Amino acid sequence: MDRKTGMRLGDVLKNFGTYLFTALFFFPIYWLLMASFVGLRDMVAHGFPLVPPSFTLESYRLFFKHPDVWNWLWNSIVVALVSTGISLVLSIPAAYALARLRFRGRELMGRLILFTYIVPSVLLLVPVFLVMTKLKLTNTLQGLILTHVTFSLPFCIWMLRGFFASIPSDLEDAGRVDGCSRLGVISRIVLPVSGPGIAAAATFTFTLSWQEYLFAFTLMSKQNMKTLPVAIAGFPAEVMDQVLWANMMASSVIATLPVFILFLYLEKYFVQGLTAGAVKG
Amino acid sequence: MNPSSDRPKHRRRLSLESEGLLGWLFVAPSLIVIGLIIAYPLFLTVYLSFLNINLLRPKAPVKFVGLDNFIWLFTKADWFWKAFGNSVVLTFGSIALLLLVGIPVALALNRNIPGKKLIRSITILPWAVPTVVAAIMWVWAFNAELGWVNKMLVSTGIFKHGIPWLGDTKTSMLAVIIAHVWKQLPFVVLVLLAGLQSIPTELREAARVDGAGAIAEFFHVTLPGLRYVIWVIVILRTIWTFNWFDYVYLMTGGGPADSTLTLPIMVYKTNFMTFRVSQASAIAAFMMLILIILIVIFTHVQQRTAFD
Repeated sequence: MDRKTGMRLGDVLKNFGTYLFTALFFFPIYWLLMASFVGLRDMVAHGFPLVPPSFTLESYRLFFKHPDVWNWLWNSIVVALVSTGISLVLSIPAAYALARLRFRGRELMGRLILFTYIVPSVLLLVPVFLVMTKLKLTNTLQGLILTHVTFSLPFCIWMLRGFFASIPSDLEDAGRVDGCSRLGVISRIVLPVSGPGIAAAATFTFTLSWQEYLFAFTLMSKQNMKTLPVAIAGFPAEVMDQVLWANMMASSVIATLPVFILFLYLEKYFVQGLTAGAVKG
Repeated sequence: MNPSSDRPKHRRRLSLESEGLLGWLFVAPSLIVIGLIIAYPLFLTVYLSFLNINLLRPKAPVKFVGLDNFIWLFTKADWFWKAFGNSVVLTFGSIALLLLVGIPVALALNRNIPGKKLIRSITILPWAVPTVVAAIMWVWAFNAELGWVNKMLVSTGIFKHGIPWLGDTKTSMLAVIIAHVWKQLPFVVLVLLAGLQSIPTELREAARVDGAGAIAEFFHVTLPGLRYVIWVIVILRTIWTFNWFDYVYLMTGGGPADSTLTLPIMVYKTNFMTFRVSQASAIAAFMMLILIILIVIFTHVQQRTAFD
């Protein structure tokens, strides 16, 4: 009896600690949201309060008046969506081959792809910039898409390979017996049951490309070719200026929003990706 | 079972051969792209590090200089060991703090705490925040007069007055580490959770029956059960934190007084600000060497744990 109440008290304390931690952990995101809905003038007037003293959409209005805002959004959206599409088109067959087809060098290929996934992107900075300059692909969407596709490919292949390998091969054999070709089996049997795996790979690639900074920053130097993260980083921080404050806070929220919404709907796919080690940054 | 097993042998061989062809056909496009943007550049980095390319002297003849760039780094460049040390402190500081915070959070999520789903979602949320945005959040959070970190510390009486976290060489690294922990905790918590779920509940119950308290259970059952998962976290996070450019760069630019200057920042600065392509490549090649050592350890651990 005594022991039981003691444990309960311990649990209550532990729970309280967890709630406190969670609240603190969420605070930076809350602060950003709040800051984006309070103009700089009111923030200063109230000595940067922790609860919103007023509510206004002024920051968003100012941000959307920036002459380049639609270019940045367009660049970000095109690069992220096209990268995701190409990445899937390339990784699905490769992953299927590594999971199902017997061919020489398959094992070695699987290992190599896993290792290329581990390679940190900063190690590729100097040579990729040189190659892209030589190919005249700097300040083009194609160049950035190519790098984003490459960075997400190894992980997509690795993840989909595991997913395809977990599909019972009886299912495919049955399709073969019914007279389907290999490609027929893939398109009619494998792909339809692989929705969750493909969704996980797609959320991963989209997130990587939408958030990527280093290569977007170095490859896209022209103001109208920037992606949203590069544009945000270009606003001088900690300057007490109404318009800059508005630009920075509104653009930060807008840059977070798409992945945030994806996350609400596809949380379990994010979890799959994360546990498999999808966060390099 | 079906007629296909009665087919003549050569048909089987033919299908195997076409499987080989199809396999390569399927893998080839990805291989070409990965080869062009990852494998070839890695090779190019090493190659460039043995040359003398400096874009400020474009007319100078390109020649092979052996280990000159490396010797220059190790002996002449006064920032090199400082940046190396900072990278090591940042990497191991954030990993230690991540485990210190991540293990209790994972344990809480593994118990049946009310509101578990919401807590888990909030814990994963920083992943949805782009690094650029996270950097802005934390720069404002650590602001000397207006930041909420100081406001909270002062209002709870922990501090008498706020301090310029990112403006002081004594606290800048700590502030950067805290920001790193916030961003990387999702990965750590989820991997730890997966590890916790793989510990058989019978083991815990057996420990309880044997009269083990919560603390004994943690050290004798939970922690040993998490050993391999923790290894995986430590090695992957070492590789990626050691090589992470944007977060620190966007928060501090390496300052104040080089107190948060890391090797990735120096790769960027050497290449894009002083245009010494070969010397930047030498830094990257040095980092690659460390990476190879870590990958060898990783493969070793992976073979022992069969984690993939």
